[in-house]
Amino acid sequence: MEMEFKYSGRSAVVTGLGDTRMALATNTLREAVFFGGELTRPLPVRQALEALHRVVVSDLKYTPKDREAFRAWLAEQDRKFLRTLGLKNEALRRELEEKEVRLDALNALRSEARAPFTQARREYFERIYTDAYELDYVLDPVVTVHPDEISFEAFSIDESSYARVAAKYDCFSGIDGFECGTTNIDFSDRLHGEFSRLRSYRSTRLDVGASAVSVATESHAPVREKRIQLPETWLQGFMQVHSVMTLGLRKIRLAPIDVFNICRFLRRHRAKTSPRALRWQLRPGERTVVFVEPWDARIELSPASVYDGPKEETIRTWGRDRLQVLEPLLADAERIELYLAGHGLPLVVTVDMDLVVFTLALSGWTDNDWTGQSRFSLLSRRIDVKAEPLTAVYHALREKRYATLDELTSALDRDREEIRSCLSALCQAGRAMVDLAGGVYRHRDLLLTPFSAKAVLAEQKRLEEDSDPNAKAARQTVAAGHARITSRRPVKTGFKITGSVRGTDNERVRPLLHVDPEGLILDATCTCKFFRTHRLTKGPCEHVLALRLIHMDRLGKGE
Amino acid sequence: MAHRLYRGPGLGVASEEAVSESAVVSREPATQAGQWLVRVARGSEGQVYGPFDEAEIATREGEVIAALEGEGFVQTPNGELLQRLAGASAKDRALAALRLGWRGAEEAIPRLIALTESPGEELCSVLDALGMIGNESAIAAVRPFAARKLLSRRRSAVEALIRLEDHETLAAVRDREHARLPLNVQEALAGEDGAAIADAVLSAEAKKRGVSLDVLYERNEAHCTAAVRRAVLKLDLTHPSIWRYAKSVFKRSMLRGDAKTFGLFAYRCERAGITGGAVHTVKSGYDGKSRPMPILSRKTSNKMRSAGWRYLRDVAQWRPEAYTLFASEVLLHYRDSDGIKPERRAGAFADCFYFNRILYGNGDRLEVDWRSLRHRFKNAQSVHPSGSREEPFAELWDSTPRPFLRLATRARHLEVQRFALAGLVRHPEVLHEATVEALLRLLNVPLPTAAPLVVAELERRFDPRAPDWSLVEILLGRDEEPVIELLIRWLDETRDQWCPVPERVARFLESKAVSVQRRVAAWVNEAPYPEGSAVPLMELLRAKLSGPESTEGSSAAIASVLAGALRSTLLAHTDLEFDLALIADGSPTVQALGGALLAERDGAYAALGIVRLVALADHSIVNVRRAALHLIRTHPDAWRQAPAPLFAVAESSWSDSRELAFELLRTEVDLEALGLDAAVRLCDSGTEAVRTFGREMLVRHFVAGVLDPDEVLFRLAEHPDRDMWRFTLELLENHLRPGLVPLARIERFFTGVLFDLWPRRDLKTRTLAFLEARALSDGNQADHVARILGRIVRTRTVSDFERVAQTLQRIQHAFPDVQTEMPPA
Repeated sequence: MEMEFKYSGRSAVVTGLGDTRMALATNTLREAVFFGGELTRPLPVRQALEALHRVVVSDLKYTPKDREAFRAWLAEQDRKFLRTLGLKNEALRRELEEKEVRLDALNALRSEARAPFTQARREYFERIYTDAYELDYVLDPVVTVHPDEISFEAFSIDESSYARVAAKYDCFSGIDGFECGTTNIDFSDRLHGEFSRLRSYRSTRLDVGASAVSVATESHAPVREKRIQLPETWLQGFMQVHSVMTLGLRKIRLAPIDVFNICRFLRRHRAKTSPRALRWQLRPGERTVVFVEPWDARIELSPASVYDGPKEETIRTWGRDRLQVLEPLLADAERIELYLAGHGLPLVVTVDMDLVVFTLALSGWTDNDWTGQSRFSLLSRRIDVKAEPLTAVYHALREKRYATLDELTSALDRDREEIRSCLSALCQAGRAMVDLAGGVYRHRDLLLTPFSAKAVLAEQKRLEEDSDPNAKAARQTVAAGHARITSRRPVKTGFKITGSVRGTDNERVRPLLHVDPEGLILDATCTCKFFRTHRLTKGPCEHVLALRLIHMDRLGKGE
Repeated sequence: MAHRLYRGPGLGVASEEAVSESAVVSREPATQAGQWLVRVARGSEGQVYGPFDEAEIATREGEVIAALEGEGFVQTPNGELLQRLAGASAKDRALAALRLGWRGAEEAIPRLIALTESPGEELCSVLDALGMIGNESAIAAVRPFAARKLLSRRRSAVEALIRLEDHETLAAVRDREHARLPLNVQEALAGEDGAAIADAVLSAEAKKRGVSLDVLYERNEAHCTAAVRRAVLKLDLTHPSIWRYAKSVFKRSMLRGDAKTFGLFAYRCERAGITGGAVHTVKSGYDGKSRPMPILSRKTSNKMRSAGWRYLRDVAQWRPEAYTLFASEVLLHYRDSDGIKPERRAGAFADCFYFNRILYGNGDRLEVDWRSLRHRFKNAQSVHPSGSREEPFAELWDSTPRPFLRLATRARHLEVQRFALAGLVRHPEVLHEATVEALLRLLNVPLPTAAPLVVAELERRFDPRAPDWSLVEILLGRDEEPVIELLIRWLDETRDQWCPVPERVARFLESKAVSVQRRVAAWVNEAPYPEGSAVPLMELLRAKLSGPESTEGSSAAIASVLAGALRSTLLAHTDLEFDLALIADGSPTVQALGGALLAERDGAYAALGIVRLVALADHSIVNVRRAALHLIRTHPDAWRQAPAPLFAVAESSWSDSRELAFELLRTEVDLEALGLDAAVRLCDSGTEAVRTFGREMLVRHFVAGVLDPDEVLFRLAEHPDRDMWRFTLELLENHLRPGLVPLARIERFFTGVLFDLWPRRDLKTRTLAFLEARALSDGNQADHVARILGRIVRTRTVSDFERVAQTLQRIQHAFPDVQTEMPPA
């Protein structure tokens, strides 16, 4: 998929002696979104944008080390050795050695003489590289103007990290006006450098819009176009993030020093062997303890981290280095909340800097992008969504721009769970998003295409059919009558179900499932090999899904 | 000495009296000394005449021969072959016919025609022979076979008729065979475009491609032949429906004497067969049953290669002037990538039969296994070339050396190129007739002998006193190193002749080789250009600058001349708008020229103004920046009192612009004019050099005592860069006023330092010491510091924890009312 961006000029931060104007150019190929206001708290915004930039350019996927230079050096050493090998005459050998020394000295002199040229060439290539890198690889953030805040969302190049910066309108004074909507902003490396010049003692004005640049720079800005080949998984990943946020997440409060301690430890220790996980030990009523593997270093978190969940749990998460993007936020952070989805599943961190909130969502581990292997959609609620309520919920949310579940329920006068399922579907389709810190759902059209409930449902079905063999196998198993429920017990949070399933490999296994009333999987285990190997990190196994299918069928029949 | 006589052609063939088909007349000594006998042997019979004197023996012998000739016997060198035409074996008859064909033995025509009347297995060879002899008396006998269904007979007949020039029959054959072509090929034929026809063949139905090749080649039209050669490059010859016809085209090429097609098909058939061919289910010609059959198996391939090599030998014997042409056409298709992994004595090209035969067939380094047609080195030493000539028919290569040139320029195998170059070294006269393009192609040969040959030949053709400008023109488009050297030498020798001619200068400045362009520009710039020609040359060069550069930097030489020898002319005939247009729209080279002109343009400052000059001072082209900086420096009124433009220049991304701004700010601007905002703004820069300068300015302010320390420190405290923290801390330690308010205003600085994941130990230690000192000075500050440290006290960094805990303890001790978050137990 090719993402096309067209900007009327480059985003810029113009710093004068007494004021700063931040002009963020928006994608003119999208809806006309604008915002203009005076920023009263520029420092948290600066720090949040710094962290956002780190996410935008982060690519932590493994790339083999380039050993070309080393190999060339090695070959040169071999040549030297072979040259001397055949020399039996000691005088000749000495002469050759002297010449080698002389050659090295001459080479050093030559390098010295060419140093300015080499330096200039390096700078030139760096400049070229930076420009090309930005044009071809850096994915511009998505900006959404809401009635109460302006937010910037970005996804890392390796598709494993998602970040969102939301600035409440209370940190602006004198908002000139805004038009709600979603678009992209031009976000270059140079701009990132300019963000660091935001200061509280200068009046700082933020302008977002297609013509913001020419206003800020008082000159006609040339059109800047970017075309980035975007994998389809990138877009799906963006949507899956919000799918994850609808899961039942364990919430822990952290102090900035807790994140500091974890990051500092990781920075000072480089794990050379597996496992490289963070093990979160959650005990009801006790402070959370983090173990850093493979050293099993114990970090007891601050008193704020007392866990208030119902039962003791130990959750391991990978890709911990990505937490270091939070570093710029620690000095300004007032409240940090950590949301854990489960073993090997994504985690979400929200950093509240008083009116500026930074949300960081990390996939299960760095190489496990949001769509590649994790089937979070399979974990999410399964009540079938119909086109008509989906359309109603979409339009209601679009009209309000943001709303809690209760507000939507009372506004639409529909079943609460049906609306939850619709919201979940809208999140997966990129039509809505979850604001974890604010506790609301927000309207956000990630794509420019007009909304069509049928298209959303068809796309969901296609994704389920295409992307997950387990879902397909589960349907086959149920259709063949190889799955049955042995016990189904209603509990406060939903249902606990056990069953017996003979899967496609013809082996009988015993899955155990805990779902909420709408089919959202809260917990699951199985005796199959897939579960033993991956647990839920690659989504539920076919047996768990088959069990849920039968359960949902019974629910539908009113049993 | 014996005379052999054969029965003449008019007496028929294979008669029952075959024993007397020949007669031998010989002389032998009689029993009497000085007397001779004449003996006539006719089959099993014999007759003796004499004795005769030595003086009359020759006469008598002549009479006997005359008598035999009267009976119909003739003396001919082909007599034996003529005899074999009447032999019992079809193979023998076929071989004899072919041999007679090669010899062009017209006396054999009646017998050959007679053989066509009762066709046997030798018929194809007989038809081939009739074609080769080329006497039109054979047309009537050959013509009926051109309509036969059997491919081999039709092929031989048509090829014979082509040589016999029976256009009428050939036209009929063409019309008849046209229908066998696929429709798209028929349509493409109308265009008479070889490439289009080849594409049509390749896009035709798979089983029709082979027959298309044969029919097209049979037409004997140039575009059809070109199409066949083109198409066969992309066809898989091991496909059954293609192989049959590829073989046919190969045979036709031999009969027709078409060296190019022969060479191509010989090579392609060898390459296709070298892998052992393929197995396909095909209908057998014997019993009509379909069964898996090997197509172009190793055995078939070997037969083909043997036939090809036999043909080459025949050409060498009977058409010696054509041998080198045929051999070179085969050789030039080989490429280095045809090699395989050498195994024991078999080299990388052991399976390249023609290659080894043609290049090394007369040497003693290789031995050929005639069963597998594989060439192996005789021993380990044989791997290295002996230095002597190893090609067979070396005398033919010397008598007809012209193909060496084609081989050298077209061959893709290093050994072939080496062989060809060696030939050219022996026969440099071949190069005299070569075109310049062919000579220049020789430069691409990666052998050291190539370039000197070409250069010597080009030198021979060039006379500096009367230069051949067309030759120079051709060389201007080349960028090979020897050509460049030669061209520079020629241009140097003829400078006086071309330098005053604007058109020539303009053309030479556009040479493909940058080094030539530079030298030309340097020569032109050596002296002021003649006044009369300067304006035309300037106009010519200006026009060339208007379009985009063909390659980056290709206008550098033109710009150099415009900025050098023609600078004053250019300045006189253009204005500021021209300079700005060059800077705005030109390539980097042109922009540099614009910059050079701008620096000398009168009134540029007044027209542009300081704002535009500041923008130009950040231009990526150094000449443009230099011009802007020059204009800024020479107009101090614009910035001395209000140095804002200099601050903008100081933040340029280019060090030369920054350095100038720093210098002017240091030396030309009063400290008071700088102001706090400006100095802090410099410190806020994203460039380290600018920050360093900003720090220097701030220190000057502090020394001069013109700044409010609290205000400066409050501003610096918000700086996010680590390198500024140390500076800020030093100022804090020395200049922060006592009391809670100044301390509280810069709280963020302390949290920033303490929460830094990459701290410098001394910085953190000094910060904690500073905080402790402030805390211990009064209760309000103690409370504030305790709150700051409370956020960090749970650090896992042992040294930090100990220091923070100690500080908190001391605060607690000094001010018991202050609430501190005591360290965890």
